[in-house]
Amino acid sequence: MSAILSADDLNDFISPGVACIKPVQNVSGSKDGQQDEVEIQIDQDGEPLEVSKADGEASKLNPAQISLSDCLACSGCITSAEEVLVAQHSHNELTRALEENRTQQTKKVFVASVSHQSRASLAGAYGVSVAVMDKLLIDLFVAQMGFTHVVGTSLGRSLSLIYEAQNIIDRKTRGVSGPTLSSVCPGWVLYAEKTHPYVIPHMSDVKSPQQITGCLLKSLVARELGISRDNIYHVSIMPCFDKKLESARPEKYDGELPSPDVDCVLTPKELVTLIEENTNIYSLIPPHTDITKLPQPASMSNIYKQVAPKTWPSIELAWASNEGSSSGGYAYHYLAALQLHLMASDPSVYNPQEFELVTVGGRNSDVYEMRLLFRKEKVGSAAVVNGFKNIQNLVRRLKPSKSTVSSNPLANRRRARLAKANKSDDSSDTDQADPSKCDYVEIMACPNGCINGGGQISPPGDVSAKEWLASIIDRYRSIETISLFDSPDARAVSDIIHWSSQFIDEFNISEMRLSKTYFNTVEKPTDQAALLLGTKW
Amino acid sequence: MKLIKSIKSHNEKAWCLSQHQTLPLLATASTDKTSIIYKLSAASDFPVIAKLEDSHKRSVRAVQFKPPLGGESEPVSDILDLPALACGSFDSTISIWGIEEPDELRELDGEDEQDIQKIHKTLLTSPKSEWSLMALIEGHESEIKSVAWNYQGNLLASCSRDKTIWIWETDPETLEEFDCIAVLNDHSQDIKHVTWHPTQNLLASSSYDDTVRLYKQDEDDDEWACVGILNGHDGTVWCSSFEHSSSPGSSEEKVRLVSASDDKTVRIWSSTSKEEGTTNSEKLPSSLKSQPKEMVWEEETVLPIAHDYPVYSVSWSKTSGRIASVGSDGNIVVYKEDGMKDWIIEDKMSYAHGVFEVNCVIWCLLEDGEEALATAGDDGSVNLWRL
Repeated sequence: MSAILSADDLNDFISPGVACIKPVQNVSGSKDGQQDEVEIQIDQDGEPLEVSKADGEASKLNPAQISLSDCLACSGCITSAEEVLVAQHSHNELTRALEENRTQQTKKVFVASVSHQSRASLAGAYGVSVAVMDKLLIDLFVAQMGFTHVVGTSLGRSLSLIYEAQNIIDRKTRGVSGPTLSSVCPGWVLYAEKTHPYVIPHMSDVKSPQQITGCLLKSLVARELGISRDNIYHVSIMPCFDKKLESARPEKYDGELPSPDVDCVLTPKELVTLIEENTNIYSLIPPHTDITKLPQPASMSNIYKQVAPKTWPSIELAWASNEGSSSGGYAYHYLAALQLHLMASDPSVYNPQEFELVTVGGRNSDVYEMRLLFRKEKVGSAAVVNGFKNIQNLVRRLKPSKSTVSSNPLANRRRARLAKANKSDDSSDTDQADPSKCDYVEIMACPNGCINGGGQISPPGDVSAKEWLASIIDRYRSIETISLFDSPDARAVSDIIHWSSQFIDEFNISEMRLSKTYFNTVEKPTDQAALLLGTKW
Repeated sequence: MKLIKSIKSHNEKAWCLSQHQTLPLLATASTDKTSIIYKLSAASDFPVIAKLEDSHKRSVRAVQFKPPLGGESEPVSDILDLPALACGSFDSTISIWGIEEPDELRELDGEDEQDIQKIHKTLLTSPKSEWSLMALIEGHESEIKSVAWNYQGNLLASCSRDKTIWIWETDPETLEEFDCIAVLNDHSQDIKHVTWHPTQNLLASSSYDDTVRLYKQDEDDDEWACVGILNGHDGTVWCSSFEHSSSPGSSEEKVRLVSASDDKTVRIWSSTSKEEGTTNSEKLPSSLKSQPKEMVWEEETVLPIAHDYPVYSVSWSKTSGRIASVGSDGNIVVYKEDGMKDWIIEDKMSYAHGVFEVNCVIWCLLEDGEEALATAGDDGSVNLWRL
C-alpha cells in the first residue's frame, strides 16, 4: 500500500499526505539544564552551531532525527517513513550487519523466516519450483551468509489463524455487533488508524504470522544456544513493504521481552537487489549452473529439519501452506473453525454432512463472501476484501450514519413504482457479497491480496501482469498444505495449541505478548500552517 | 458578442457552471460554500430556483447536473427523469442534490402527450420544487477540484489535489449508494478537471503535471486504466472538453478533445479509434492481447492564440461545433472551424467580468432554444452572452 516506499507504483494505493508535520524534539545538550538565550549560526563548514548569548559558548547542533515510531504515531505522511525505512530495514542494513558481525567480537546469531508468498514470487522470477527455491534460499542464508537457522512462517501463521478464528467465534458468541475486521495487513491497519478510527473497535487484535514467528523463533533459538534474545538478529522475508512498518511497532508488553521480534524485513525485490549488488560474495543460483537443470530436491523435509531450531515443533509447521486465499486463508479458516465449534457444541444436531460452504461473488474479483450453511441456513459468513477501492466501500458502510442526509425520496418513489408495476426489483434481489454484514472480513490493502504485495518481483517486460500473477499463484498453490480445522478431529489444532501453551509456560511470557497487537487512533493534524507546508497547487 | 444578462450571484468567487442537458437549469459553484440554481429563461429574467447551502465547510469548486436517465440518445420514457446535481467541494466531499417528484405530476393522466411534456418541464424547473441533499460522498483526502457524470448517469468521476481520480458507481434513478469502483493515480500532481465523453465511457483528466490523461474500462476484467497521455502543453492543463458526436464538425472515425492551459494555448487533440494490431494479432503472444488497448492520440492543432494569460476553461458546443475559451486575462474567445483543421477566431470579448479573472465558460441553450455562452468570474457574477 505504501507504494511510495517502493520503486514501482502499484496501481491501487493509498496516497500519503505530503508534509511531515511531526514537531521535532531534540534533547538539548545543555550541561546544567539551564536554558540560556541562544542564537543559531552556521559555521564555515556549513554545520549548524548554537551560540549561547550569555557566555558566547558555541556547541554543535545535532541534526533532528525522526524515527519510524514517530512516523507511525503521526498522521502527517508516510513519505518521511521512507527514509527511515531505508535506514532501518534495507538490504544494505543487512549486509552491514553481516559485515559487522565478521569483524566484531561479540557475534550475533542470524536467523531468517521466509513467507509463503515471497517463496512463490522468487520461484516464479527464477523459473523454478518452490522446493528448488527453498533449497537455494537456505543455501544462500546458511552456507553463504552464515545464518544459524531458517524457517518458513507456517507455525506463526497456523497460530495466527487459530487465534483469529477463536477470537471471532468468541466475539460472535458474545454478540458483538458488526463484523470483525482482520488486522494482519499493516497497510490496512495504518490506514484505518489514520483515517477511519471509527472502525478500530471492529478490528481483531490477533498478531500476524510475521510477529508471532519472530517471537517464537527468537525465544527458541535463545534458549537452545543459551544466549540473550538481544544477540539474535532476525530477518523476515515478506511480500510487502508495509511489513517493515509492522515490525517497527513497539511491543505493548515490552517488559516481558525487550528487543524487537523482527530486526529487518526484506521483500523479494530487495533480496534480489542485495544479491545483484554483491555478486562477488553471494549468489542465489550457483555460478555456471543451468537453472532449468537443477534437480528437484528428493526430500525437502530433511533439509528443512537441518536448518530449523531443534525445538521447532514439527517440520510440517515450518514451511507448509494453508487452504483459502493466497493471503493466508483467514476468512476460510474462520468458517472451518466455526463448523468445528458448532459440531463440538452439539454433536447430536450438527452433522458434518449437512454443512455446506458457498461462495458469493462481489462487484469485482477482489470482493467475495463465503457462507457456511447448515441445512441450507446460513450459520456464519466471512468475506475477503482486497485493494483500496474495495476497502473504501467497506469502511464507508461501517461508518456511523450521518443525520445530514434525509431519507432518499427517489428510492421510495422507485419502490412504489416497482410495487405498482408488480414486478420484483431485480437489482436488489440479486445476491451480492456484502462484507459489512459478514461475521468476519479478511482485509488486505493490495489488490489480489498478499500474493500481489508491493515487494513481490515484477513481471518481465514481455509478460502481462495478469499472467505473471496467475503463475505466482500457481506456485503458491503448489506448496503442500496442512489441514487445521478440517483435519480429522482437528488434531493439528489441538497439537498446536498444546505446544503453544507449553511454550508460554516454559518461557514465562503471556499469551498476550505472543499473540496480541494493539491499535492507536491517530489524531488528524489541525495546524493549518503545517498542512499548507505540503500544499502544491 | 453581446451581454444578455449579468447575474450578481455570489459575494465571493464563482468557480464553475453546469447546465442540465434537457432542462433550462443552470447551476453555479462558489467560494461562499453555496451553489445556486437558476432558470435559463430570459422572459422571466433568470429567476433563482434554489440555493444549495449548509452542507459544505469550504468552497464549492465544481458542479454538474446528472444527465437524463438512459442518456440523451436513449431517453427513458416510462419514468419521469428528475434532475439531480453533484457538487464537489474543497472540504473533500461531494454532495448530491435532487428534487422529489412534484405532487402535481400525478394528476396529469389523460392529457395530451406534448402538453404533458411541457407541463413536466415547467414543474421541474419551478422554484416550488424543493432541492434537498440526497447523499454526501466522502473519500478524497484533500480538495476536490472537479466532478463529472458519464453520459448514462451511472458513473460519477471526481478529482482532487490528492492526485487521484475516483470513479463512483450509482443507480442513476435513485442515487442511493455511491460505490467506489476505481481510484486512478496516474497523475503526478494536483488534478484540475475531469470530463467524460458525451456518448461513450471515456474519461479525460487535466493536471498540474502539464498532461491530459484518458481512461477506459478494460473489457476483460472491468478495471479502469489510463489509455492515453496528451503531452504538449507547457504548463498546467486547466480544463478539457470533448467534441460531441452530433456536433457539425465531428466525424465518426475520430474522437476529438480540446484542452486549455496555463501556457496560454488552446489545443485540439484527436484519436482515430481504429483497433490496434488487428491484422497481425495471431502473431502476437497471447500475453500482449490482454493488455488494455492504448489509444493513439495526436495533436491536431493549436487554436489561434488570443489569451495573454493562462486559459482556465474551454467548452465545445454540441449545437454549433464552436469552441469558447476564457481565462485569467478576462477574455472570452470564440473559435470556429473553417474547413478542415483550420480554426479561426469568430468573436472575442475583453474584460468579460471587468478586471476579474474568468474561471469558467460553458455553452448553453436558453429556454427558447437560443444558444448562448455562460461565464463565471472572480467577481462572483454569472454572465450570459449572445453571439
